Amino acid sequence: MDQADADRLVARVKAGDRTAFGQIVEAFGRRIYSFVFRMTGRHELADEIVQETFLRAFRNLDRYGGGRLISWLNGIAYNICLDTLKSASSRTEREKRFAGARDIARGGKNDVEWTVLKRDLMERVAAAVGELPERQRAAIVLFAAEGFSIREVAQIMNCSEGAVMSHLHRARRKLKTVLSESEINMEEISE
Amino acid sequence: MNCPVRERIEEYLDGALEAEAARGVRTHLDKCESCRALYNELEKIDTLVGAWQVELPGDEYFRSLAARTGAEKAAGGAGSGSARALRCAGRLFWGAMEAAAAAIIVLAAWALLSYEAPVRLAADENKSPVDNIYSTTMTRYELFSANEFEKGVAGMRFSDIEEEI
Repeated sequence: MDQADADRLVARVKAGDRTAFGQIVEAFGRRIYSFVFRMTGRHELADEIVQETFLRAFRNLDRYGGGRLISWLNGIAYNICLDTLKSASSRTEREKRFAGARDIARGGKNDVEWTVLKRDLMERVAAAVGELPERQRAAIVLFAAEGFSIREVAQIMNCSEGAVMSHLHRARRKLKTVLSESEINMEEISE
Repeated sequence: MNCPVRERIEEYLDGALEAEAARGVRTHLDKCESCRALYNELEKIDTLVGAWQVELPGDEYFRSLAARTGAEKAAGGAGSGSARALRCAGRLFWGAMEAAAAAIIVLAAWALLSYEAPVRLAADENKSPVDNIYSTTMTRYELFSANEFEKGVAGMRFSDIEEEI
């Protein structure tokens, strides 16, 4: 769905057409879910946050002032993620996320498609990202996995572009150790 | 090596440089092996993170998501408790998934336990476990085959037997 379609749907919701909100949720739900799951590593938590995201979006649609709707929705999801993860920052919870991160690596591909080596590497990367502080994790996930520009990531995270780049820098440095321990051939991954 | 460009490599990777500055870094990367190695390494990290694919719930999850958020009720003014309600809905959804999985396990266990082998064969203490499994399986197969053969013959019409001959 392009931005013009998204704007039309927003206008319809504001005019009282509730079915249009369902279309927004269906169009953007998967991207929001992906981001939230990469942040939390747990389906149950992701489900709660995704629902809360769209509920808040619905209630605050009047505050949406243009720009890309997906960025605005991700901004809401990011704030809820931070609040949720802050309240669940005990070691036990981190370990649960670590376990959940293993699910991320498996992705939609089955075991036949993934070699043991690739799966092992992806599990380690997923786990390493799961261990990053929340802001660094959000920055690298939004930029590298969700494909947002630095400017968009800054809008989503409500900080300066410089701060985003700083988060990215730190995140990459930490993840570098994961890569240096592996001897994976990148051509294999991109295949 | 301390190239002046080295500090800008990450900005280049982030797409944060103006066109001219980006061109300068690109040209430098073609010439400087050390900077190119650093760039490749950092790019590799982004590629790996980008290679994640989240296993998403099915289409039905997203079709029913709007209704489950309680947004429509919220619009009608009954949304004060909806945040709690949506959490309950989420737990119910995942609870239902877990219950379904548990039910399948219970059914499978019941099917296994209620299965009664037609013939119980005692293991021979003088044989190894592997040999015992093999000989027991073969004996069962032979008994089963003989049984089926008898049933087959009994159920056959004379014309069928003629055709068989």
